[in-house]
Amino acid sequence: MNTNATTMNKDKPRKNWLVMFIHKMGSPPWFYNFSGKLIPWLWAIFIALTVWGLYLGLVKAPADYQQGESFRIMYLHVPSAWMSMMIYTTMAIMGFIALVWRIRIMEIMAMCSAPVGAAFTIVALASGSLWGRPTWGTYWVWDARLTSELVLLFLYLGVIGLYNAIDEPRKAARAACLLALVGAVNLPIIHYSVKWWNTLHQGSSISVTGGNNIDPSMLWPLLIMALAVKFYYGANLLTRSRVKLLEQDKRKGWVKNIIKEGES
Amino acid sequence: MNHAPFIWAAYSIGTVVLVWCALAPLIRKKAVIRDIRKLSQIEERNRDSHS
Repeated sequence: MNTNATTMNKDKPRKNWLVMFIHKMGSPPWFYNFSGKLIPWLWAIFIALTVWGLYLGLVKAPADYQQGESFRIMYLHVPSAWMSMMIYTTMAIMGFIALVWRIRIMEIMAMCSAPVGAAFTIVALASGSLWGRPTWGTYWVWDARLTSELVLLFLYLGVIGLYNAIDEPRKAARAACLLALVGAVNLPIIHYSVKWWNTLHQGSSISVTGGNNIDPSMLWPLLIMALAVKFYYGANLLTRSRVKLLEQDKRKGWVKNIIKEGES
Repeated sequence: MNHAPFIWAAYSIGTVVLVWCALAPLIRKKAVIRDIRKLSQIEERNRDSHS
């Protein structure tokens, strides 16, 4: 009994801290100030990791024995493709939370994720196409992986378009969050397309459960780049969310105070 | 086949898209702050004319 009581007492301050943090994140002025302090760090880590990852990938890693130098496109293509799916998943989860609990910050963050996700999808499609030409002999084929990734881009554009088509921002966000949730059905299709159908696109070379087919000298730069783009997403998302908050709350006192104080 | 043009093109497109995606909210922020300043000035002017 005594041991349980001690454990509960130890957990209580931690739980309170977490609950307090979540509550505070729901407050626009607190979110604005907190994210403002976080953003420069996220950009700095992104830049440092990108420089390191690209140096290892473009300078240090040896050429592939089959694909030659063109495999170096992997350090842009693969992290972008992973991000296109990860951001959509995050957007759908935030959209679900926004729809169920009506948290405005979540609506804003879900909607601000869409342009970043669309940018990564464009980069994944363009870099994949440029990798395909020397590897497969063609820029584009209508195989399941490429087509489902293109559908993902259209879903992002649909969410952005729907959000901008409705004047009332909260109503617009709810409609777009619903579309984001419905579109999430495309995610398993993209992921399993190389297994379900016979595609020109290769299967996964990296597995979370092990059995990687890539040499460590080529794998590490890829993992560093994959980590770097996550910091890019974090910094970009928070920057966009802060601007959206200013825009929506432009008649409120806290925004006027920030502008008066000359905070940018 | 020389692979360099494909690698350069891929990284150039990636850089342009991601830099634009990072700069767009900063450009938007400037416009929003300008709007808020204008709005505040109009509100102050209206308050002065009423008092």
